[in-house]
Amino acid sequence: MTKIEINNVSMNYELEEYSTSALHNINLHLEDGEFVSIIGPSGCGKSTLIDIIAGLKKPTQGTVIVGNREVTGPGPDLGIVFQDYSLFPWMTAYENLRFAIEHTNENLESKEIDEKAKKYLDIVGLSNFANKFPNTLSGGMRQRLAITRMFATEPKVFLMDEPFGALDALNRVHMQDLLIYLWSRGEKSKTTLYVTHDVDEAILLSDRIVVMTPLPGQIKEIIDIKFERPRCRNDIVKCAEYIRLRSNLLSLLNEEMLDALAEQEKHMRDLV
Amino acid sequence: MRVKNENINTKLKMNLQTLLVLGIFLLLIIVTLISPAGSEIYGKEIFAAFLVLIAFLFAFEIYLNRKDSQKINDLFLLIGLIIIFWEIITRLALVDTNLLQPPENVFAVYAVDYLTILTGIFSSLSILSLGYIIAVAAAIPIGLFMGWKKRLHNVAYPTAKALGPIPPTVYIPYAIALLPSFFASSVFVIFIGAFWPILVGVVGGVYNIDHRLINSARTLGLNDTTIMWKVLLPGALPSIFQGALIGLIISFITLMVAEIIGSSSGLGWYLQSQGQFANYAAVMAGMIVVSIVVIFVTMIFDRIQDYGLRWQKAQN
Repeated sequence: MTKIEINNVSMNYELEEYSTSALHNINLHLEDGEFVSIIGPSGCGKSTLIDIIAGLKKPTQGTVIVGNREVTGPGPDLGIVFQDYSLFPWMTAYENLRFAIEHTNENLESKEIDEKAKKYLDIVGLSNFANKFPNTLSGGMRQRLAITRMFATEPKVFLMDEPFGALDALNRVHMQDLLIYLWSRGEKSKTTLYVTHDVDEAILLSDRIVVMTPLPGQIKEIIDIKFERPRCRNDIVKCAEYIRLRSNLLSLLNEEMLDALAEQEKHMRDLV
Repeated sequence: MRVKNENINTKLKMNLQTLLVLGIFLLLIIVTLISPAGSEIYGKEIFAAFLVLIAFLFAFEIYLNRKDSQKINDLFLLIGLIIIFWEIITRLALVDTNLLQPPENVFAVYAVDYLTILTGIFSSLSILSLGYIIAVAAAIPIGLFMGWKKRLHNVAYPTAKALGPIPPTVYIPYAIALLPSFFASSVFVIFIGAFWPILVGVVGGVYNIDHRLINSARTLGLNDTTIMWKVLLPGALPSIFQGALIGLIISFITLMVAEIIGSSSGLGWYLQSQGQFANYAAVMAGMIVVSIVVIFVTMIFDRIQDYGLRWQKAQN
């Protein structure tokens, strides 16, 4: 049973002249095995929230509890994939996987680690690229490897910060399918928090979508997605429900954007 | 069709250049043997043997790089032209032939002084490698730690930058006074010379590692030691090699100066003592040896660097 509980989390950045509130009073509970997406315009603090849950940043206020542990620092129970920079460029694809498995499973023997690394490379079809360095792989392959690395370390929860943000549309579709395949592959799916700015991606993948607004970063609305799994991309996009959800989400985001633009305009008028 | 023709043309041109270079060396060998410019005993034989050696090296390199031989062709053409230039100047006595001796006389020195030169190479290289290796071994862990801990970094980095530019030769009198032998004090001075640039390279490298990479390492729950050796060290490696090359050059120069000042062996001492006796053929012979040693040492350095940074090169 691994729940994620985010209780009253706030994050203030103290800059020289003023302080900004990146996150304001975030409360969010993820049930065991739930896939939740966070969507929102840039600057709404979604990446900050992921960093706080991963233990990379300390919130100004509030607590994050994963499973039974209060998060105070990063650990092998929290798997994370960033948009890029998850892999070490000086290790080959195989070495990257092996290194991660070796250091998150202290009690495995060397031979078992080798086998596991090979197995995961095989699952995602990167066996032929085992000895290539990340620089020589395409962006899609790199992210495939980064996600594989996260799954191979078998964390309790998955945290993903716009993992497919830099990929082209076709690659992104492949990666979403791969992600869902890996996610639902075991006996029981893992609790996942997924940051994105792509509405269709959020609907396809999630059980719930959290819409956030900037300045200060806070939760505006949480929307349930009730399509049955496994979901077929081509089927659900034709549903009336899908179209309604999509326009609902877009108008929520648009409203935000329009508000932000009006705010900016007012600010500029004040300056003049 | 036209493209093909051009291909054949460039191929032919490169082959022509290869033949030209070989021709230059053949000509030099024949001229040396038939009418040598210098009259020292064994001079023409050793110089001719040297030319044959270079010609064989050239042929070998051309064979190794037969796909892209332009670089090798150009390099050996330059060597050939320099030797021709040398021959012309000394044969026509354009400068004082006592100062600039003909190649045969310079190479004749090796027949007499080969033992002194060989022990000199050995002595210089052992001091250099010992001092340099100690500097690398000390600078890397200290630098990794310094670059990582911000508080230490803020104090130590300005210190390193302030102490770094002091010429290492300044320490020679202190080293000779405090340390038991010339060997120990030379090693110390080489160490000082190489240490600062390597340290600055390591610290700068660690400081400039993308923070997201370190975050990625921390999410794997790595301990500090593992992060230091498996993440910071490889991440800082490009900058470490830059610092290490500067350190190598500085320590080589320092070594030559140190040997000139206070030694009774080594290549620097050999150059100095022959110069004092106005034996300029021997000075030139020594300079040739020094440059060959430098080429050899930097070749080893480049090999190590290519291996250490192979992940970076892969980009292209």
